[in-house]
Amino acid sequence: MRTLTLFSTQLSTYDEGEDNGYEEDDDDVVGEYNMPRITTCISLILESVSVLMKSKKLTSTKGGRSMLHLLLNQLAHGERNGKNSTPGSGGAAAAAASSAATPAIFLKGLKCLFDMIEESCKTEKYNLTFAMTGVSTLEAVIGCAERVVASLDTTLKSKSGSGTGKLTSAQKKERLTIDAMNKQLSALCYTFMQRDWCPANLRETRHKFHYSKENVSVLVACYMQCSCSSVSVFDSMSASEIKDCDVAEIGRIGGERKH
Amino acid sequence: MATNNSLGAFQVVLALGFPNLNAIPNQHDSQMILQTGCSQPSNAFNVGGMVVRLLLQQLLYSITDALKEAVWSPLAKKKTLNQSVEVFDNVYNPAHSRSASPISKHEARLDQYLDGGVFASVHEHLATMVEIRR
Repeated sequence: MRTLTLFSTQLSTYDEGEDNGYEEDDDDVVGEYNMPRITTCISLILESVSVLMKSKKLTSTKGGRSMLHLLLNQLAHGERNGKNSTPGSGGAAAAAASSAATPAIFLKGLKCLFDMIEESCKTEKYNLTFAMTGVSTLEAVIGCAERVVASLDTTLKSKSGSGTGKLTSAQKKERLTIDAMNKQLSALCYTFMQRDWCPANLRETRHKFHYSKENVSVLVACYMQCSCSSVSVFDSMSASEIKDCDVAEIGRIGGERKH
Repeated sequence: MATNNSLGAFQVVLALGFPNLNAIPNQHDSQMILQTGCSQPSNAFNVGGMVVRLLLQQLLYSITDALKEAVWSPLAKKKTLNQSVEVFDNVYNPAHSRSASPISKHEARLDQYLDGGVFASVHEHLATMVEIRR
């Protein structure tokens, strides 16, 4: 009881002090759920995941990776540590399992998390900020996958002393998983680029609605960089040639070229 | 961002791991919903509630603060082990923390969240909310 009282006091104090423009009145409730608040909650979860995935502390050291493994078990697979025992009792076994985690185990968890995040934002049609939070989180997950695989491969190489430079079949598989995530993100960005994000109330006066480099530029960059295929039109051109080229001849990104 | 005073406030995040704040409070409730086709699932599920939103906000600040800390070093480890860790009066208190010794106060906080099943609860909330938004 004392815990709950303390908890409610701290939360109420916290609530008074915070105003991030996230006020979703219960009057906004449509149907059975407060959808704006649900979107806000998802957004907060995505931001938290993004912070975790961007942390180099969790990928560069053995201790960090051990924590990342436990974290992915919960965050991606929903496993509770020692659910039927006292908290922390399974810690030693968990820590031992974590230290033996291979790149494939990390990638499995990260792919699972990636799919869930993609699912959470791919249906978004109105809130561009939320969509961008999703894209940024997915980018962070891919970044984490690349870092953890690189880090573990380096550790394994230094242990075995082998350095032939040739990719093993396991490493090829790892690369394929990361490429698959990249392609998924590229496809998502393309879907978002095709959507009209102008709010309904501004559609009469479209000049009041602007895309910015924080959204459309990120989507374009992500779409191109994550596609895993060279964009041959630009690859062979210098910066000045790109500047001078006739955009109408190239056509819309992902669309048919006009010839 | 966080001072020593606010470190205690971050422990409220542990409440996300409490059974009563799970996305689906308990198995009995979820079975009831499935069996009776309850017309008011918003009463049975905690998703998107004000308390959960506040806790998630606090979780974001807490994680940001924990991971931006510059030093996760043996020095910090030594310092933390010498300090008495603030005890939170519940079953998730740090005294029960796993045998792997915490490196710093901030990392110990992440450790507590893992022990308290906070991230598993976050997973459940996210999965449930994704289903609702579909």
